[in-house]
Amino acid sequence: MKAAALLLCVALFLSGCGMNTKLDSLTMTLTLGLDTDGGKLLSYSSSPVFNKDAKEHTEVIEVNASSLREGRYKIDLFASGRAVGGKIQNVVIGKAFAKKKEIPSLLDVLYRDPKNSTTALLIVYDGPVKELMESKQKDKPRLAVAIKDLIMTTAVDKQTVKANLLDFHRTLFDKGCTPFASEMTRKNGKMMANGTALFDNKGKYITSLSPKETPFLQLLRKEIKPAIPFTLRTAALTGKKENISVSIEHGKVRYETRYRNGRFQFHVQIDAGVIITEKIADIDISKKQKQLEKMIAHEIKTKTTALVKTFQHHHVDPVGFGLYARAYEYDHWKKVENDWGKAFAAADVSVSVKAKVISYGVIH
Amino acid sequence: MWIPSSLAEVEATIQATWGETPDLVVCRLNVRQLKKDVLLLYLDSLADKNSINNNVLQPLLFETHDATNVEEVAVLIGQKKYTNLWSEVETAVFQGESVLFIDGEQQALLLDTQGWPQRAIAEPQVESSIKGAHQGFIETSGKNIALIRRYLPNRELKVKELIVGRRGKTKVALLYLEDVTHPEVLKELEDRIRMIDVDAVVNTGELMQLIEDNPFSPFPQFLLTERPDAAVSNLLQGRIVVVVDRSPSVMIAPMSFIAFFQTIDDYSTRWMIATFLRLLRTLAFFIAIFLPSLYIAAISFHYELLPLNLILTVGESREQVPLPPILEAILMELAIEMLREAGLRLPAPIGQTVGIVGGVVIGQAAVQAGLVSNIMVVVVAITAIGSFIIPNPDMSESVRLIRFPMMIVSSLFGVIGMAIGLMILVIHLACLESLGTPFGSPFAPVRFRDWKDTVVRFPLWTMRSRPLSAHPIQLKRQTKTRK
Repeated sequence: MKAAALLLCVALFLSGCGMNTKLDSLTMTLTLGLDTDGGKLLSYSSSPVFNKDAKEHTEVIEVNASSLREGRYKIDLFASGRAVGGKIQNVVIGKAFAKKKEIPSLLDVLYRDPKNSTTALLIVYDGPVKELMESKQKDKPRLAVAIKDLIMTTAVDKQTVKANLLDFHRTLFDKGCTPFASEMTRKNGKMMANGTALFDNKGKYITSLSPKETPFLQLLRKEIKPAIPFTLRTAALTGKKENISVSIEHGKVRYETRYRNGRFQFHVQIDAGVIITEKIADIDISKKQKQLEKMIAHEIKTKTTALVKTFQHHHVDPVGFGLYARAYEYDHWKKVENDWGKAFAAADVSVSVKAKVISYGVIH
Repeated sequence: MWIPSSLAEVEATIQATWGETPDLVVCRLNVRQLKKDVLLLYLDSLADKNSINNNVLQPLLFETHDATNVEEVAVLIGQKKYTNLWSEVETAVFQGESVLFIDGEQQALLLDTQGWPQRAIAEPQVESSIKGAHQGFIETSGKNIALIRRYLPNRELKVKELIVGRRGKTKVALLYLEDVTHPEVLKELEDRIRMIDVDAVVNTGELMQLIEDNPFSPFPQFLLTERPDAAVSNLLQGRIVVVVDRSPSVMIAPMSFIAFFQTIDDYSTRWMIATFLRLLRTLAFFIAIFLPSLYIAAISFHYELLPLNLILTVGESREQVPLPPILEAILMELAIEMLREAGLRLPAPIGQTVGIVGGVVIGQAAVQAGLVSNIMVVVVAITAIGSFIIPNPDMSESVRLIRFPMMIVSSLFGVIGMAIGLMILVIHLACLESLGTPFGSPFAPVRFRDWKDTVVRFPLWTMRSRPLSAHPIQLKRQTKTRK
């Protein structure tokens, strides 16, 4: 017993557990930036500084390296503590860079080294990343917290998506869908969430969806909870340029998959229960309920159909139609699985929407 | 040595036996009716003078008529004994009894006139309770046994009296329910007490250390309590109560680990509340042992464990602190232990001052001076509160002690060290025995039926059998009275 206990103590020292990582002596990269500048790979690290003598509470380091790990070694040269990536919150990639380069191979170290965090948000930044990393916003907390809060809360309202490194890896790896990430930019010196960035199946940036289109992507992905809000024009009903705001509270999205005449056919059936959250337009909703519902259904249909057209045009499938193809038409899927984007582009997708107003709000 | 028959010889023997004893009263009287001299001997300091005057002297002088021997002497004392051994006379005098010698008689009369200084029965100081009785044990074993008997007017409640200590001659009484307590457990306890060969046992705590199973364990294996109701509740579970004369706490054996976390109030409050409180205590136990070490581990090894906002807060609060986390933690923990100890030994009015000074110094000044971080103060405070929630003082102290090795292993090996510390703790608790019964019962060995009264407390009517931890020979406690 005593010998075993002694052995255990000795073994503990052997295993390398003695190497500690004291919080005080770390430079924790919280936001990792990747960008290019004339063919060079620039890697940015933004980390908090815990020292009362330091004027700035965030330290930003820019290095030029051929890979992230090499970048970290270079960052170590500048950083006052040991550079570590265990708490990375955001990985920000410049749009220009993502357009040129397939990013998955660069992100490899984040997945391979278990000490790195894989729950960091993947964000495409429209503009030079340097500008974001070095921005100082007096009305915002530390950069990493500000970015993360911005994306997470905007994603709740469906105007952007929430995709972390693991989500990105999964959607990239799955042949039935293509990855996507949140997108942000800066406007008037302030950072803002800016819809969704879509990637192809190699992980190269293809196109973006605006904050107005993103809710319908989420609808197609069945990400309805807690609600999908949007505003539509009521010109069709009143003839004037007026608004009505609705929010999809619950809904059913069903996919029917067939293979006919050498191509896939998808039929998307959306049953949406909506509530009216704001009514500027002068509509007597008690009388025109049917028309209103029809108009809302039409709006959803138009938007989703346009969205699907965009996807097909760019040969991307962030919704995951391929998953249904694989589930229902496996033989045909098997033939095209390695080039699903092209097969999806040729597919027929029809959408039909039924909307039901479940609440008109508290006042009439 | 026999008692001499002539009073002159008796007086000489008294002189020889008690040389320097100013409080010894030797009172020679001539009882007219008896036509004989008698001699009354007692220790002034231990005997009750009223009782001697009214119940011994008065009847002796005025109501004795024609007694010819000791048995016929009139005294108003219920408990009288006869002896012809001088050693018994000696013991009796030291117990506060008075001894009556009659000229020409070989026998002496031992009269129960005890009246030593004792305090009144008062509220228990250490284990206060909200709904329990407000009577606590005092320093006289007879009174203590009386307090227990009041709860169990039952002939199965047996009292076995032993004398411990060559000089102290402490009366140690073993109380048990004959039809419940396992005879082997009783015999084991009795044997252990009989084996004790010391000068004196001043306190129950001393007796406990002399007979406990594993003196190298940080955990107490017997319970000391000053509450009669707690003692009775344990008697009913088949345990043995050891009442030590001159000590205000009684010892309960055998004990199980979980019973140290139960109070008498648990049974008098409703079961949901009692369960909540017990879960709270279990949580407090783990907090008291592991919170400082978790803090150290998180700061020195596993910064990834902390959520982002917390890590920023911790980092900011530590930005001035010059000490590594382990020193910071040990400094604060020692400070709080010193405060506690200082407050404990000081008289109440000064004790408060210590609390205020300590609170201000530790809570405010140390943080402002940048010696320790805010978060550390919070951790230490929660830990201290956690350790105070544990109802038994002995267990609470054990937990406070274990915290330090835990902090050291966690500063060396992080969470892995903590996990190993926990494993060693669990292994130790599972191996520990109390009077040969498993200390970890009902968890080690697993006795599911007894889990009703552990970290949760089922409604009273569902606990129909006595817990197995003390190996009771009669299991049934009550019948099913409710659905």
